[in-house]
Amino acid sequence: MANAILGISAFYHDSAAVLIVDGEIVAAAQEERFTRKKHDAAFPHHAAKYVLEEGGIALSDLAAVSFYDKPYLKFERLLETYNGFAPKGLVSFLSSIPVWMKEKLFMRKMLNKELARLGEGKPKLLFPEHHLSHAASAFYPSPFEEAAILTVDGVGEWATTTIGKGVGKDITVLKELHFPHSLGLLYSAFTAFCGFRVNSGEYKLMGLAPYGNPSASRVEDWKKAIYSDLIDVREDGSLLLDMDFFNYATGLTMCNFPKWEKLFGLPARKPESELSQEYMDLALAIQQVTEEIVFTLAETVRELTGCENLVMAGGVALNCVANGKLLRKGTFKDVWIQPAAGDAGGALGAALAVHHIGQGHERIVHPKDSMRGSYLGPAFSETDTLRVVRKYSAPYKKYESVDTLYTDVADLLTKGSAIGWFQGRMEYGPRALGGRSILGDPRHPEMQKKLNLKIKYREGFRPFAPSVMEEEITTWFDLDRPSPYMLIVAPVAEKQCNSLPEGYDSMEMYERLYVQRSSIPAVTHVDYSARIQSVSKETNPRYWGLINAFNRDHGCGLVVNTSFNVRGEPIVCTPLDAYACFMRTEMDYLVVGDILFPKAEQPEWSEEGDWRDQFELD
Amino acid sequence: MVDTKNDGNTDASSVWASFFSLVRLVLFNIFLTILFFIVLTPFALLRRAFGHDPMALKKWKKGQGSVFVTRDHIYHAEDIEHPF
Repeated sequence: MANAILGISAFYHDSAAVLIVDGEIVAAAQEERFTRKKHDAAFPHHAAKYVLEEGGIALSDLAAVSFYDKPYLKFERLLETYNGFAPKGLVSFLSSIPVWMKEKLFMRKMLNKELARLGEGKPKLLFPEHHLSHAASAFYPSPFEEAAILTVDGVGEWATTTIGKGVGKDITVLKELHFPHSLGLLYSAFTAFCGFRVNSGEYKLMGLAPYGNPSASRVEDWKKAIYSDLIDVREDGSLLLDMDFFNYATGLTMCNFPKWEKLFGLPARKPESELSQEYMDLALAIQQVTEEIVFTLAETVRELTGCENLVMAGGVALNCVANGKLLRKGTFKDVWIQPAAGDAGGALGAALAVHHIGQGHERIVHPKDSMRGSYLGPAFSETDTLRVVRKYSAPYKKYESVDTLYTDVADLLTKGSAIGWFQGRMEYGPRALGGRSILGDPRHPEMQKKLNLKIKYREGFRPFAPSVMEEEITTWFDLDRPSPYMLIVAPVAEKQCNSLPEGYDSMEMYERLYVQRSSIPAVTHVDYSARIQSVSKETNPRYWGLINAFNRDHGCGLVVNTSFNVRGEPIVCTPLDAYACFMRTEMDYLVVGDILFPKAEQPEWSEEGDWRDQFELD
Repeated sequence: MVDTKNDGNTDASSVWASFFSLVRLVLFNIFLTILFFIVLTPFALLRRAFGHDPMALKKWKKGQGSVFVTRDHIYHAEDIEHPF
């Protein structure tokens, strides 16, 4: 009988389900992809159903179901928070206690009830700590026999940062930083102050930072203000927050806005309002502070563990700018980051913790890693695509030769087309990696504007990432190793860069953005960096084949890769989702498997109501 | 043919149901508020007066030493058994 374990993360944000069988990751997916509700926090019923089907496993076959945190420890932390702050905290008390009394204190019962919807059987329920789930998701699939482990996020039960060590099948936790003192929540507070949504806008804040002016005196002044008034960073990178400035422990918002406004001399930015230079400078200040803390933490981790390799997980590990700089600093020989570093990845770690810690199974270390490119979600057959064809009477072209498909799509890219690329299994984690992507030619001067404004319908400042074939990394970037999960930012190679025009510093943000600063302007950020995904022939042969054809025929071994969705929409899951997204936007072509849909030939798209109302802006 | 329109009784009962659920919510919130101020707050203030500092608020800007909690713990099977 196979040893199958189901991992679950749920009830906070980004719920997900993962199935491992005999220690191998069989399937993993986030609930949002199925329900089409971004960051869906509900029990991952659809995702769990899918992963069990993918593995051919019934609920009764499972050795265990592993939930990604310890709910009672969370409740204890909640009560201690009121003990620490009362008489402050009534608003939070009134909002959270009823939910705990009604549901979360009865987690076993609630999980059993939800699992019963998946079939017969009552598997054993297990509960690893939240940060153990993160640590396990980072260490066990990594390519290292032994590694230092750093997990940094908002908060789990008590821990907000942990330092540990993994050797073979064992994980040791050495140090923890406890709530309410949290680097993740500090970054989220700045996200909220700059007018972005907490738990999803952190990525935007990171994308905004390069627009800050590093030579502006206020960046330095604000950094000083952060260090002196908001945080107390100790010599080993542990930190305290002055809770008079933060509201998340006792209220329903992240920060005490009047105090922040006084400290920075700047009003909190209203969501969706114009982005002025001040907020870019503030984003730069907090990004630099975050990086400095991460580097100090990394030094401490190195010293405490003596390991030459580092693995990371937790939401802060998605800060790929900090990751890239950490790698270049050389504190560690190599750094591996779990691609689903956020809470969704906790489902994987929870399952792996049961396999190695609960059941005591040894690890099998794969030289690359065990994530299989993170292509762990559902795949769809040509029959599924032809159902879409029939439903919408959609004209299409079917390719008998995949090489001809690559050649034709490469040609279309050079003409400035935006192409939906839907192939194989869906990615697990927040990034699209060539399974559910929209592609473009990175050399095209208008591509960034076109993708942001006409296809993604998102803020124009947001940068795009390149997917580069592994063999061509050094031609285009100053990076000496693969970056398969788009978690490393590195400089564009100097030979590809152009100098800036006169008067650049006085230009408005969007003028600066559209300066042709390199031979691949669509993926070159304003600071000449790029968030790189390298593509290997072994892990994703189809995506590699396309980029290879683009390189062979047009001399460019990389494409622009952005996730296949519009703003506020989860990344597409099925061919039907993909076709709807294709028709709603100004995308020019859609490729699903071996089938090409040209937009110009499609019948007019009509649907009831405005589709934009379906998706809440993130 | 079945008349699918709501009759007056259904409308009235649904209004009463909403009203009672609102009353229940208000009463429950009053109960929680009393619990918070009459039980939890004095208890918390008393504990804090005796040095209890669960949020590590008293360590702010006091020294350069680490504020990490040391655990030095290898995880074992029993660590993942329970929700606590």
